[in-house]
Amino acid sequence: MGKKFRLSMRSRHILEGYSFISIWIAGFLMFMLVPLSMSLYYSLNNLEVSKDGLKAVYTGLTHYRAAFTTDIDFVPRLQSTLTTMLTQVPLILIFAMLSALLLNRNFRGRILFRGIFFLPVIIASGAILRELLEQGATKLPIFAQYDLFEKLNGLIPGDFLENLLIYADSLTLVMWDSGVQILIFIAGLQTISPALYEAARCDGATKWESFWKITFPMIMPMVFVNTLFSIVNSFTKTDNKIMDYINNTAFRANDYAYGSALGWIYFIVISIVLAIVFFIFRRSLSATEGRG
Amino acid sequence: MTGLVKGKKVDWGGFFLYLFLTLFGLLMLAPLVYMVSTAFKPISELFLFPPRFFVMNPTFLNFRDLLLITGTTSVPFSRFIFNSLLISSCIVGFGIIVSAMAAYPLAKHNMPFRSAIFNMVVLAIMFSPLVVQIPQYLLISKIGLINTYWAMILPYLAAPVGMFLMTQFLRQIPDALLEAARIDGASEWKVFWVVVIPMLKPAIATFALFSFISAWNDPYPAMVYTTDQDMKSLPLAIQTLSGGYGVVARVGTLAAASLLMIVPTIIVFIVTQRLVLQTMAHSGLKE
Repeated sequence: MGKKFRLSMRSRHILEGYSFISIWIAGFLMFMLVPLSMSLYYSLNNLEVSKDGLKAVYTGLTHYRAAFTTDIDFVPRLQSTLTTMLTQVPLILIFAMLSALLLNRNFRGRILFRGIFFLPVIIASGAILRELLEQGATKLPIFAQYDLFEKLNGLIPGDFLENLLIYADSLTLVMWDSGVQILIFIAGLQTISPALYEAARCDGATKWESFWKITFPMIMPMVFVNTLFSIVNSFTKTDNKIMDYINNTAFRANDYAYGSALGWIYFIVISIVLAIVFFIFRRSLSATEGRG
Repeated sequence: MTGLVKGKKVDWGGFFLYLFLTLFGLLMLAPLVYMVSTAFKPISELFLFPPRFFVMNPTFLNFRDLLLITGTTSVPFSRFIFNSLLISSCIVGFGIIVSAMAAYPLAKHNMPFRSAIFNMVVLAIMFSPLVVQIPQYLLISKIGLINTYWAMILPYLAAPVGMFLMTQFLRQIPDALLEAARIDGASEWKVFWVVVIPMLKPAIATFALFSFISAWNDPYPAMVYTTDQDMKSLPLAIQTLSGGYGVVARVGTLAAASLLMIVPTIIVFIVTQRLVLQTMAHSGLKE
């Protein structure tokens, strides 16, 4: 008993740390880690419904093999999800960077504009709005279909206008997804000390030069965080094709074992993509640290 | 910022700045405007072809229909609103405390397995939530929590995102501040409440906003964990109202309901907005 009072400072420190974190860990184990390992176990088995609940029969990697060989839907969907990700993430990053640069300047109504740029995060994450828009078409029909076309037709030639509006639609999608990224970039921009710009100006650097020599290297860590965030976001969005497919397999078709195998394959694909991103950014990140 | 201030010439830069921002801002606002205008459209305009962006003869019919439809079911509509409010505020409130308590030692205590735990959190963020749903369901039903509020609250408390955000934010706070409190004789618990929590305020506001948005809009927990009609949450009630996929007949009512749905999130955004922008400004995202 008395031993407890003789704990060293260090072990007391550790003990206190663990007692703080314990609630979270308990919740995490119970609702994340255990279900995760259960789904890994299920993915290696065949599930059969019997009197006393689900019964698992071991089948090894059959489900994983089936995903790439017999399933005609999975691989094309995976490809299209990857292409969407590859085209959208750079667009999101560029748009977010541009908006952050603009929003970071000192002007009237800055707070208002920042609010507006963040608004889609609030609304677009609502499942309801998505459903509402889905009823129109598979994509957001805000510009391409509505009477805006007729109104603007007098001003801009029709062929050009139609393409423009379709493009505006896809741009809207990109913009909706970049609310958080914009905030992260603004955060990064504000940590750069104005003295650096001043010094560059004294040395005769133009705005263009000081962007590439100061701003860009300094917010490299944010570019990295944003890339990760956008990739994960585009992979785990609920309207993503693969997520939809997994959901259907697991819940509508009730093939839970196969569904979780698909989930794990998907998870591995995401990890590979993220590993590549880590590898690309490793060099530029260490360069920034040396400078900083 | 002084380095960016313009000279006193004709301010073309400023002009283009406003032009761009207004243009993009309008694009951003378009979905909201579309939703508002749909909510006020009478039937005759809802199915116009080609559809119209703006409403011609605004009407409150959709809102009246919403009340009438929901009035005919056995459970009053206010019950769904109450359920949703209760669940969302519990998730936000307890979630903040749990995440903050976990973030504090992860950022400031030098203990074994610290980075292992943190990496696990980052991994957990990447995993698709769908896959864990059935094991989670089995677990909940085994403990006997089906059809209780707990079933819809507990699984969401240990949120990886909140913990990640707060840990990153806390790392920036100087250790000296905590040391000073300890030297003055404060216990760890007291340091946590008196020093850490107030310092964390911006991160807490950010997390509160995000977790409120996701909890408020998510129909899945009520769909999976409840069978009773009076335990349903608002998003699920609205989904059933629309009649599921492919039913177009109540588009107007649905739009009215959706408009009512986003009102609380906008209120939460307005309340937390200043702190959220602040977090991002000084946030611990700089690694």
